Amino acid sequence: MKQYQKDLSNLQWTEQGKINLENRIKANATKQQKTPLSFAKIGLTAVAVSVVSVSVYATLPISSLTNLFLPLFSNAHSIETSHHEIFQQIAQPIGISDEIGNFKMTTEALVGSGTQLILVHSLSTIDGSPLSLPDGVAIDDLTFQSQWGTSVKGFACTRFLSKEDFNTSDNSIQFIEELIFSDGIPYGELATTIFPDIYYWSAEQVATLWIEGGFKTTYLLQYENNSQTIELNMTYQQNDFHYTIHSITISPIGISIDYIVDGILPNITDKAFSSISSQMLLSDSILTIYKKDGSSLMFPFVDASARLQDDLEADLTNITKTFQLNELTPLDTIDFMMIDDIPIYL
Amino acid sequence: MKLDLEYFLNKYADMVLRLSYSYLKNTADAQDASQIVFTKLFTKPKSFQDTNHEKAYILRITANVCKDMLKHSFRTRTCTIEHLSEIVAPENSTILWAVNELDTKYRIVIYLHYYEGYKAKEISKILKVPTSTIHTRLVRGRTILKNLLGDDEHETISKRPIKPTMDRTR
Repeated sequence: MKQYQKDLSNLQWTEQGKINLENRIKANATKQQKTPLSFAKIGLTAVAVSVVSVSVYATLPISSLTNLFLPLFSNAHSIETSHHEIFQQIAQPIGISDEIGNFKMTTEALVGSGTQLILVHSLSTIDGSPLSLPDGVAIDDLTFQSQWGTSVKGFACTRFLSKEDFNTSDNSIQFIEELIFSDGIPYGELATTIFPDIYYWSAEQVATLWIEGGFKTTYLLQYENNSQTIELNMTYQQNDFHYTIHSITISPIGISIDYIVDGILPNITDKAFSSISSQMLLSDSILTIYKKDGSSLMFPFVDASARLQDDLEADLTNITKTFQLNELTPLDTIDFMMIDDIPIYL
Repeated sequence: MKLDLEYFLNKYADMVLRLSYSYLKNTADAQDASQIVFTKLFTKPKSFQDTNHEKAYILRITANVCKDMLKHSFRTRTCTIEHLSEIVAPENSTILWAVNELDTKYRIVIYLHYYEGYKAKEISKILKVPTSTIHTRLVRGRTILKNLLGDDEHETISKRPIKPTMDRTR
């Protein structure tokens, strides 16, 4: 296994990489110490209902929804009038809870556009007592040992979960769930969120049960879809592959690029899989959005979720790459985009 | 207690990156996993009995972070263009390809045994898996590797592992 050791030794951080990593970790630690907003203050009081009830939606002030979701877009430093308008269109208050013992999980609200959703769930105590994690356990140590998350029957999706404590002085912690659906827009469908037994990683790094029983909430998805699809049918050649960008779908919270590439992705056991998949999925490419105000946003394709559909007869692969934006970006603020050095005019 | 982040990064950043890569099989996710591991260490410092304890603990945190990422269909989000040049990635390598073809449970024991130089009993403590299971995984992992790589690699794989460059006795 000398060759294994030698080849794996080549994988290492550069000196600058270590410095950058150190800076990011310290910056993140500082950020985590800040005390952002309080769910209580913004009036998202959970409404306890039975497990299978469908929500009667609260009429929250739009400013509250803006306060709730804006921190999730890290580049948004201050609230502008346009933010209220955007959230008025894409946010949906929910306020459905499920309870176990003295614990309550509430699906607070969502922002959605097209096939992308961001849901905020909060875990709190029913009697208002402090939500105390076991000694020495941090919020990042919480984990699940079985299937968790939101699903909609007939709509496959990819999920991403992060855990936050929006207000360290209140009695709740938040689970932020991001979903990207691959089988269409689930508007008007019934969604079910399941958080099973909650575990934490102990000091010995052993998964230890904290809250037994699991939470389940069910509610209708009724956000407004204000995404816009632009047909492009633009072709270009890069390396050995021929790409056709069929369309781009833009919403304030995300961008999806539908393109077709020659060939079929080889089987994962094929030695060429890694290099071919990297080219077909444009893994080394960068999407840059140039805004009318002169600013720009950059997104590596490797960060985007991908959906692939083979067309064996035509020897083509249809690919949809979806990017989650870190800044609210309405279509009318975009000047043009580039994939590497290929300009895309809208 | 304050953690000397620079010391930990200089000493363990490459190890965490390689173990994360062994789990996740791509460098971008391995970079994200590394950031999560060191953020945990930095925000929740812990005192260690000795260097061996320190290293084994970091390996366990890394394993747990990677398992969480795999379980939750984790999608990388934090990578920027600058991040891409922060690491030196291995060139196309037949042996790395073959190891990456193994099931995760075999891949990780192969990494810990052949790269980090841990014995089955030590791996058992790190992964919280019985020693006999580690032995079985090493044998099966080697067998699959032999099949993937052909006879030329047979002799090499059968030899005792080379002690890694990192001195674990300090």
